[in-house]
Amino acid sequence: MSQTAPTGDNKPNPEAGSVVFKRKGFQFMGLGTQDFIRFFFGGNASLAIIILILICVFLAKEAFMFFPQHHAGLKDYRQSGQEFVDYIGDEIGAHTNLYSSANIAYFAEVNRTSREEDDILRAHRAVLANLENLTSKTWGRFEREVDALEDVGDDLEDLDPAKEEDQPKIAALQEEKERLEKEIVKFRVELKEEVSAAINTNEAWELGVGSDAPPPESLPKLREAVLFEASPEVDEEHPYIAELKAVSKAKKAAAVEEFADFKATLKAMQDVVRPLKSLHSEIRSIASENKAVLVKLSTAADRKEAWIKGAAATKDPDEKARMLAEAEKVVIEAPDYDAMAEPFYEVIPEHAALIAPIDTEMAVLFQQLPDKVETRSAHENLKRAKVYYDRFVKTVAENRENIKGWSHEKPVSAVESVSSFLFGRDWITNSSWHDVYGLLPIFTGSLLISIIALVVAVPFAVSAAIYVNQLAPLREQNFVKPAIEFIEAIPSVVLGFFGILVFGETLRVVSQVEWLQWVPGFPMAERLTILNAGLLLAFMAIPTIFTLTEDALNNIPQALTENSLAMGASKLQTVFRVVVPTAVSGIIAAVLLGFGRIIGETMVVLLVAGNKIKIPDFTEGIGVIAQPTHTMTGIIAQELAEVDAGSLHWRALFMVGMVLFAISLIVNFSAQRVLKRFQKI
Amino acid sequence: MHDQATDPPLQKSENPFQKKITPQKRQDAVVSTVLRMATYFILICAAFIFLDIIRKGAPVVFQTEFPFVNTKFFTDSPETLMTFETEDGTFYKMDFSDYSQWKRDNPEGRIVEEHSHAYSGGGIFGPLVGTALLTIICIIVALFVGLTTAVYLNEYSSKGRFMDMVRLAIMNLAGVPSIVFGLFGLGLFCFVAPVITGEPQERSILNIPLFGGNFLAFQGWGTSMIAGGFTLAVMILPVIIAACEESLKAIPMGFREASLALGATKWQSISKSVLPYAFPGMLTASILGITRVAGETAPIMFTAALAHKDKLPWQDTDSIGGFFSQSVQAMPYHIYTVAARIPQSEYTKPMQFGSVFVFMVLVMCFAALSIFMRINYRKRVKW
Amino acid sequence: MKKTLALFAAVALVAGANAEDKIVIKGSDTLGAKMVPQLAEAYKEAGNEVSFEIAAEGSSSAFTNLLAGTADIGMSSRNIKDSEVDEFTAKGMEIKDWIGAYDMIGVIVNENSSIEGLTVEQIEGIFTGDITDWSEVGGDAGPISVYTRNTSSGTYKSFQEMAMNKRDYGADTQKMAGNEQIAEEVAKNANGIGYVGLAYTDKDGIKAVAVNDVELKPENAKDYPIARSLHYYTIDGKLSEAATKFLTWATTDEKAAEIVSRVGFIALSE
Repeated sequence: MSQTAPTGDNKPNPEAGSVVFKRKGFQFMGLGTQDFIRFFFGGNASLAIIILILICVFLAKEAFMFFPQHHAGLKDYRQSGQEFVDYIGDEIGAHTNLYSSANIAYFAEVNRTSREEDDILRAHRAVLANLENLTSKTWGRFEREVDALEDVGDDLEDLDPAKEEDQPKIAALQEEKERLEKEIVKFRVELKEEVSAAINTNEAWELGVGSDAPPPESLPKLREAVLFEASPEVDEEHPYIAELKAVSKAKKAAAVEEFADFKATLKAMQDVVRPLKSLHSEIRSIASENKAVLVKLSTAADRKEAWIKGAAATKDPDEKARMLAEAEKVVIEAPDYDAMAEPFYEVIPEHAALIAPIDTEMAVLFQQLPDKVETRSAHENLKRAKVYYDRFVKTVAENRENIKGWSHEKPVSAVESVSSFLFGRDWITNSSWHDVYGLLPIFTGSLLISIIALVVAVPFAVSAAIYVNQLAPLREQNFVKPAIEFIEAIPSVVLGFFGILVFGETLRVVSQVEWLQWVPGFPMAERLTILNAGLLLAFMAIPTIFTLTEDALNNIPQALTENSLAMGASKLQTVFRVVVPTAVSGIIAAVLLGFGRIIGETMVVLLVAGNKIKIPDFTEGIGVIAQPTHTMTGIIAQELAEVDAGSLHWRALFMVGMVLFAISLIVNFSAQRVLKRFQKI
Repeated sequence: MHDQATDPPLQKSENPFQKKITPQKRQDAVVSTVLRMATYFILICAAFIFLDIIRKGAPVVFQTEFPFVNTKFFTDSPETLMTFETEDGTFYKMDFSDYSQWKRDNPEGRIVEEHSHAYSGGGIFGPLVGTALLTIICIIVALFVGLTTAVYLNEYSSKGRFMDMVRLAIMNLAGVPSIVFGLFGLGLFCFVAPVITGEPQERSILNIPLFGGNFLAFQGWGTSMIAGGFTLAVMILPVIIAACEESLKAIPMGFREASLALGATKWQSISKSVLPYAFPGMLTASILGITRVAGETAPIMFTAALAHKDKLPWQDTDSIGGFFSQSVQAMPYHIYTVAARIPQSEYTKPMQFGSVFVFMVLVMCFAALSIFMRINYRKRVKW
Repeated sequence: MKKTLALFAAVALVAGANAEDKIVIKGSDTLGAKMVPQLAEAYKEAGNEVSFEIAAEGSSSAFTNLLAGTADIGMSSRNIKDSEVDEFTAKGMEIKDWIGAYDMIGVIVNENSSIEGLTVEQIEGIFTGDITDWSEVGGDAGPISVYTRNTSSGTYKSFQEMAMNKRDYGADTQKMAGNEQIAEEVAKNANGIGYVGLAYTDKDGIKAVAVNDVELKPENAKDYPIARSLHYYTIDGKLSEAATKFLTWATTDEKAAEIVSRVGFIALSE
């Protein structure tokens, strides 16, 4: 990309005007063959340029049409009263979060007492399920034989032994019955053998991700119980398991006693918000209806026209009458916005009356939550509850202003329609309530994955480039360089495939390993995570960064290195004090271009990133890499096929494409600027 | 320098030219080893991915008896795979067409435990053909436009700020994500591009009447092979232009000047003295283009690809227009389908890894060819 | 420039020349991943000379493609929305609904989970993000990982309507491309929960929970709270003869019914 050496003057165009040298040839309108050839090339070049300009224009057109449409959507959102309803919804949401955290803390405490029994019971279920999978084939056959035996029995009952003509049938069925009974006995033995063989395999003892192993002293008994229950004759619980269940239940009951106060507080918390919830659901349905009216209005004119057109086209008089009647039914008039908003203004005092006691009571109830708990989970959840409580108080305080100031007539500003896209924290589409297009969740997802990919890729790619270019013997160079360039050709869908079928599971298994638990985010519950996608993309970016870095190192004037060596510097000193510092801007450009490649990659992130549209939870620090996320490229690939051309959703996706386009242009442009500085040296 | 100062004085018995291991050298060796390990770690990762796919995919494609290659995998199109057990406990696994045959042959055979696995039987002929067609269309269009543009930019255009800007723009577009080109292709080729037709569709945005009751309708080509091919072509256009221009630039000015001095016209000198020498470079560029295009999924997802098509493209149409306006299956999209959209089980694995294996080997062959050619070209051409 | 014009003209030849006997089916993944390809294969097996093109991107794509004229039949796992009907009428088209089969949406959890049943309210809480830990619904403690279909899916929408009181999915939910991906993830995540069509619940590693104490079994279809019908949509009066014949076969023939139940849906006759 970088060695574009200046080529002298490429225009040695001899003046062909002189009469002496004038050649006769094809002439048309004073233009010769040469001119036409020139036009042909020029025409194609302009075509190429036109196409490339078209891309920008077209994308920009589709994308920027988003804002007027979005603006209209926001207006509907306000006029229908949905905005008002969501204010109250926020209060309830904040309360629900608080309640949920406290609730988790409560259960963590209650379940703590019976933890050991629960672990064994969980292992018991897991092993039984594993055994069933391992022996499913024989089981299936066994069950079919049992069914067949039952059928034969039923048939026998239907036949009358007294009747003469039924005798041969009865005899045949009796024979069949005996055969089946023998088969079943045989199968039982077979199954028993299979089960006792299977229980010795490692697969049988795979307990699933994230579950704690049962205490070792319980294992022999557990094994006995599983063997007992897995055998084909038995249809009851092993006494050991039954006992465990009883103990666990008793312990939990005792714990519930112990934490009765906690439970009472939780219940009070739930009760106190109940009237607000019913108010909310009441006005929610009003707003929904309003919204439906507004949406219908937007297509009304077209529908009316279509019916009238259809009526004009059809010959059948009945059909014509029906269509005209349908056309008649379409209402185009704008509804009475004031009447639509009326119910919301009416509930303002009611809401104020409701929220005040909730606010004070929650303050009391929140204080009643226990501050000393034993399990870590409970501790963390109570801490989280504190955060949610503060958020609840804040929401309630803010809403006093919001609700007082709410007006369905307040115009939506243009800035709002832009900023709510660029800084919106939610991306909700195909909603029954209100579609929200906010860039932040997918943008942070893309960025986070790219950063991880770069953090991993840059050290490897740059060291490899330095090694290959400066230190490796020629023969090694000739092998390693093409080999790394070769990686670039792996199609991204193949890498995504590898990530989803092989690497994800490998990564998760690795994350369970005991001595790796210091790594943030480990153990990972998910297969498809930021880390998985980031590592695969790092692998994709390595060849790009490697090749460009290598180029940059190559372009260092030989004199510099020779000087350094001649001064007595060692090879490595030369590399790190002379070559690399000189090439640093080239390396930066390489990293930038690598970043451009990563952030625009689609298939890997679509398959592997986990597709969770949410701003990752950064409270876990670096552990955030174990979460799934969604990306800008992924969301386009996933949602574009489903949307109508020209709809708001379609334009939102084009807008995301536009953002990607802008990012890649900025990245490329700055890489070129950096390179230019480098070339000046 | 200072290393020498701190070195102990030479001992007489030693060979003065003997290599000394100074701390600096030891440090050099360590750092060098670390760098080397990083390099090989990359290669090991790559080898791991390759070997894993080969280990799981090769058994699908190759077999131990004659003809050693599973020809069915290459000549059939994907279909449903049936697995079932008969009452006597025999287990069968066959493609849906064979299954229907089997059922006809064994009317009394009672089937128990029957499962079906969509897209997991048959072979990959359909997707292979689709990818080949898409790639061919794309390369023809991209090379035609790209090559002529490069010739114009390098041979005809005057130097100046404007041309520099054009070049800069082209360079910049080379880095635009492929999905953005997919968006553009969907919007332009599938919904707006012009079509000559007797009855324009509802969605057409502009109808220009032509002779004989026909219209030039701007209604788009729909989801079709040609829309996909053009989208891919636009995507690699910047790359092709840049690569072709690069190889034209590499031809020394003297070639042109000598030709012109001998009285050749501009076109003669370009066609006789420049293009033939730039040809290998352009060939390399186009093979590189093929590698990139064949592996792309995002741009064809909405513009051309289909998950299931039971006829091959030429069986399905009676006109040239119809041929190009149909959607096709394509390898990358097929892999996406079998990797993420169908029920997974041990019976789907052969199709999954077999497809990936074949696809990877194909793309890799082209990649290897282009790398090999470039190295060869660099070695051979020294003006 | 001349040549480029010629090129465009050649391209422009592409006049919607659809071969008569080709049927293009697009839409729902629930129908398109398993049932419809097999119906198509069996239909051809039965001696009908047609060819099929099937793309399964989600129910919404059924309507966008019908609207754009790029599909003959749209498959949908949900009822058409009012706003979609409006779009069709706005273009002078009327839509026709064929019911293809019935389906129950199974709520699945990891087979090692201690959860056996949930109420609809609990499901609503889990999928909207109000409930975030298994202990809140009586299971062993652990953060719930929720897997849902992507937004174009009919299952996504019908689940929202039937089980979530039309509320929006919580932001923590992960959107998966297909039923199978959900089953795969839940099978591998001890704290996972998701929903899939009945046809996909028969897989190792997952189990379907009872909803409101009704177990997920075909015979409970009437009482099970999260059940729906699967549709084929066509444009009235614009359907080719071959496609009409296929749809009639697919919705009435006994062989078709056999396939429908084999892939795990409930045929109309049952």
